[in-house]
Amino acid sequence: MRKEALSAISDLVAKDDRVVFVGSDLGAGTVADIRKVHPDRVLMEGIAEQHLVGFAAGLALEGFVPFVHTIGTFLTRRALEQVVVDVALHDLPVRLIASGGGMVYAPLGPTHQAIDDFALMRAIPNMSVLAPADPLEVRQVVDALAGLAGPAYVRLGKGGENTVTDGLEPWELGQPRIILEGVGVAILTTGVILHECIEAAATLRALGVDVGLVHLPTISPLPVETIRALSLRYAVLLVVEEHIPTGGLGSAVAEVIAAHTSRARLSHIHLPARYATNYGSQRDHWDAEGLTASGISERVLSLVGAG
Amino acid sequence: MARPWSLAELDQRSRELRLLALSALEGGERGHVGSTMSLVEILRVLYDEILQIDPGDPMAEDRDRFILSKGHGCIALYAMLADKGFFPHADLRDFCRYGSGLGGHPERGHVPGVEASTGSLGHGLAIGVGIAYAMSRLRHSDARVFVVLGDGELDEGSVWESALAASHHRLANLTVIVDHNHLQSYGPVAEVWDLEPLAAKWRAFGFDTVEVDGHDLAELRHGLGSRGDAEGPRAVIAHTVKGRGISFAESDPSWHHKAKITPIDADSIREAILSA
Repeated sequence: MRKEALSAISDLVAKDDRVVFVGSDLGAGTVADIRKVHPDRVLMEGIAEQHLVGFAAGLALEGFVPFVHTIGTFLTRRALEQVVVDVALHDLPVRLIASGGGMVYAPLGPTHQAIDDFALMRAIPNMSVLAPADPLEVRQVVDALAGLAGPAYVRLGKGGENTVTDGLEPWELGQPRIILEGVGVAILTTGVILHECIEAAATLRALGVDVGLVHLPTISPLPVETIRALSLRYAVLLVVEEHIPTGGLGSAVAEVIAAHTSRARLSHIHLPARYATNYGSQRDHWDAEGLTASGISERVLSLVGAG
Repeated sequence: MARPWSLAELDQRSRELRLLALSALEGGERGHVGSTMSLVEILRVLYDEILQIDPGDPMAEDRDRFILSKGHGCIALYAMLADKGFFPHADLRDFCRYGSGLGGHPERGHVPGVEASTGSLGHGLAIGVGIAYAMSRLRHSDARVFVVLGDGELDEGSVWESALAASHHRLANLTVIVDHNHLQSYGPVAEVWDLEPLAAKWRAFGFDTVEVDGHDLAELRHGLGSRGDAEGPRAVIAHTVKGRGISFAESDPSWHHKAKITPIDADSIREAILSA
């Protein structure tokens, strides 16, 4: 997914002279080809996220559209004040492209695990927060961000994901994607965990459970009217996200349900509210928390049974 | 009170600019008194003689850019901008009032002539480096970028990240000015976190560095007037006196910030400025 993002950003650099790539000491050879062609607009800077976010704000004040790319936790935690003050307060078109969303860096430990990035970025009123699910959507997100006036944060997955969004209606920034209409329970998700949700939905449908499935590549600003309509149509909204329970998509959906006094119940599959104490793989952590096709379908079955 | 860091006397214009600043302190009944007064001559020389800016066209593309990274000194900047006609003098009286554009830290979009919103320390230089890079490498403009940092602000690690970057990119259009008033909120800089050898630090970070008397117009002019050695950025360490021009506030940390300035205080400040 990161490879696709870098390729899409490189294409943007080539065709739009406002676009500047700002990397922070990424792996050897990253963006080397486009850097040879546009050395002044493809920068590989030092390990200094606070500076880089402020630097990007300076570029944006002068009319450029910087894409700052490094590990998600370093953008959202280390440089949080620069993101708020330099970028968001000035309402600048800086793009924060975060690798290692969720538990991608499980073996590297809690310093690298972006388990709270949605919460931190959602707390910024004018920040668009996006989590594309597959390579096609990554490219659509990057292309869309060339034209957005304000700031944006993009959580990237591990890479190697299959393309699953190619059969859907064309996507526009901010739009939800209704993948399956159903009755009773609708699964709401964002980012790469969509793949598990699609598999779960297939299993459930084979069992005769007509589950709905909605993917929200943009979790902020949330498409409130869509969520509201879903909360009126379905008895249960099951939010599935690779994020701690506070501040992410589940919280956002709960806010809508509460504000509209909808009768829909909220169910939530998420990462635990703690820093990980195990290493292993991203998949190990998904397995442990039920963030898998089988975990999701079991939850839906229990919800249907309870209903 | 002795002024170990500056021997310069204040002339009529320096007193008038301080009286303009006083109108904000008096109107808002609060403000960073000491941090404002140390800045006045730095801003005076920049705005009177160096910055290529037009109050009638404050966003002109090739204008020089000025960023007050030590945003808490904003009253000096507001006074200077009002003096230059960016907005009416009368607006100063509304400092920090509900509905006023002039807050306790400067905000872009609220105040004509303010290039960047600052307040939290250690942010302005990174923004300035971004602007300087954009101007020199991407726009090929001759415009210069000036960033004023406080000396206490140099405790922030982000400043030094930005210094590394400015030097790496050889941003000869960038000038950093340190308002070195030798006093931070708690007390003497040397006692909180000693910065010495300060000039050597900036030199080691790749800056063409000069030290000047920050209330001496000729020294400031000399320090600020050239684009450095054209190989990289410039640092001007301006030795100033916190509270300069208000005899009883000079070099007194209790005058760093006042949350309540009474009419009697304001009268005392006015009297002190007029006799400075």
